Amino acid sequence: MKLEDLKKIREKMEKETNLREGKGRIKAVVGMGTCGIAAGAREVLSALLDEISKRNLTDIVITQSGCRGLCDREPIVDVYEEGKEMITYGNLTPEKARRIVAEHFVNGNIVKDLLVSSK
Amino acid sequence: MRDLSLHILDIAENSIRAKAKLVQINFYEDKDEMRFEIIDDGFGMDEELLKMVLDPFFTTKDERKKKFGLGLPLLKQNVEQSDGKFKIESKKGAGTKVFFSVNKNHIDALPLGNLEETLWILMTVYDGVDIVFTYEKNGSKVKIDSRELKEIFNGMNLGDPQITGYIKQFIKENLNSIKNQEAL
Repeated sequence: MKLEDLKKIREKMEKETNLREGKGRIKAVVGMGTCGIAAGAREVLSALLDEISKRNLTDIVITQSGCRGLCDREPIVDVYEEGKEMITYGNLTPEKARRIVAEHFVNGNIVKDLLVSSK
Repeated sequence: MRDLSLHILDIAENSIRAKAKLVQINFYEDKDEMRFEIIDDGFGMDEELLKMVLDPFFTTKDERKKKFGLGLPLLKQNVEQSDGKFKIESKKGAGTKVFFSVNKNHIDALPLGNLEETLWILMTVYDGVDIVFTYEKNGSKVKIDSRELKEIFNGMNLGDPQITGYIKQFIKENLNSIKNQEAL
């Protein structure tokens, strides 16, 4: 795949869909300090990105932060949703991250067994 | 840290926290050796701080309770124990350069790991920074530049669900075109 191929993809997408930046109904923040990376945060982040890409969830933004002082519960994802309390999921794996996308981001149900805290 | 690709992510993450605008990751490979340079234009460090970053019990991350910064010291230790080299240079206000090499034949050498995932994550979820990756082997060279990708997608975030799958595929194919060659 060359840069020209990507250009063609963009042109095709522009014709078929309304290519635009998402509004960000939900923001998911993955802890990517050394502790997080060592515990598997890259794989969790990758699974989240992959899942929202496959489902084309344009209103979800996946981003990162440094270590947030919960190193023993890494990999961690903080979920910020408009008008709701922040939720923290911990001890994640790629499979658990995909569950969060399906159950929480799509269906709107908090995944209780993965919760660290809610404050 | 299980492999080199995770260390590279960790080092680049330090660069980004040092407010780097551009992080260059250069990878050279031959039959016996893998060499890496990670060069940033972030805050940089003075000599005193530079000495401290290799101390396993030092970190700049004040907000945290446990002040352990283990990333670089662990990499240095591992690399040096397996016949490789490790060097870090920095200038306050100018940026930092980390260099390390790995002897592929040493039994304790860390494996490369999933470099494609490291690059994808670096190019998609970190705002305000660009990544230029080069890979040289057997006289061929591959370059992946996040600035070129952003230009194609009119400045869109490369992590956007509509396009990020293509970005991942682009990185993977370009990386594998050279990675899968046997090193001479």
